[in-house]
Amino acid sequence: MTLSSASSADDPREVLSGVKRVTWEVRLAQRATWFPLLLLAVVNIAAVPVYRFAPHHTGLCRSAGDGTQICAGYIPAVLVYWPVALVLAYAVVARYYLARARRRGVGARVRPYITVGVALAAVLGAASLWRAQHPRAVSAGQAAGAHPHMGVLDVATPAAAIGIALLVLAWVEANRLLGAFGVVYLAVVLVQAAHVIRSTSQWYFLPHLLVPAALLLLASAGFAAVRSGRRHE
Amino acid sequence: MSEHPANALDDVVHQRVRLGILAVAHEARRVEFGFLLTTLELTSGNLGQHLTVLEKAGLVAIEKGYEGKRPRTWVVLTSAGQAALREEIGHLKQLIQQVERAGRASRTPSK
Repeated sequence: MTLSSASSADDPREVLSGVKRVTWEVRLAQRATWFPLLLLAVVNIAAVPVYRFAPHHTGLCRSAGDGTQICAGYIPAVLVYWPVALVLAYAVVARYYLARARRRGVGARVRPYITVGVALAAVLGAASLWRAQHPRAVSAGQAAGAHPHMGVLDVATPAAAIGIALLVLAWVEANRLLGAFGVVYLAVVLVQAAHVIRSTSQWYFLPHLLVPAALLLLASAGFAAVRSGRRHE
Repeated sequence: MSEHPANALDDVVHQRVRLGILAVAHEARRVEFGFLLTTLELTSGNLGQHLTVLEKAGLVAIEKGYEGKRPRTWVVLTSAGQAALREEIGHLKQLIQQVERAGRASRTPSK
């Protein structure tokens, strides 16, 4: 039933449900949820060669108390990669949303997404610099597992920044499904960030990049499938 | 006694198609004439008449321009339109509550 053909025109419930229906159609025209998810997955995967092949540096060292020295190791290229890649990704997403919405004959709200995205990238860059100067106090004998001294800056990871940006996008799109995915995604990456990886492998970083990338790719495929299903209804 | 919410409804806004236009323009921020045509399932002439009423009331602004070589007409909600839509939705919700209260009262057996 359309807004203009409602049989019980003066029933306020009918009028309100008509308003909700047209609002929903506008949101469907504005949404392209699969795109940012796919792009952010690509950003994660593209980070693999940066972690593996860019030169490593040793940062500040400090005594662990038991006579051993703890040194912060970091990759300067990674400190640059994430803020730049995330800001570029958010800008591409905003541009895509605007162009797509315009083609369909509606506007799109992207300013909150861009503002939060740029702020997150700045926080992430600052947190990465701080971590490079403040080595974690992990004793040599400690087994892999939950980190005993987690701080706020320790969870300011690229994956967490992506998760928060997804929650902002869910709010902008009024998309509950994306909001639910954002919460699950954030929970997974925060649990990951809280765990110490003990490995001598040069690929030790892979779980921190590929687990979020896999989640984002799966969600992107899921949202694309739901959208395609709706189009064929 | 307070005024019945039905009396507070604005005839310009309450008309179903015009309310639909305002709701779409509110959600879309800026909506193209063609999108309104398909979403509200109207003819060009009918939609044009409703837009003229809304524009005269200062509830929407009409912007004409080109996208490439194609002429386009965009509809934007004014701040008066935002307020009118908000008030209309509020009155409709009040009306629903009032009808539901009256329905419950009539079902309650008198002692």
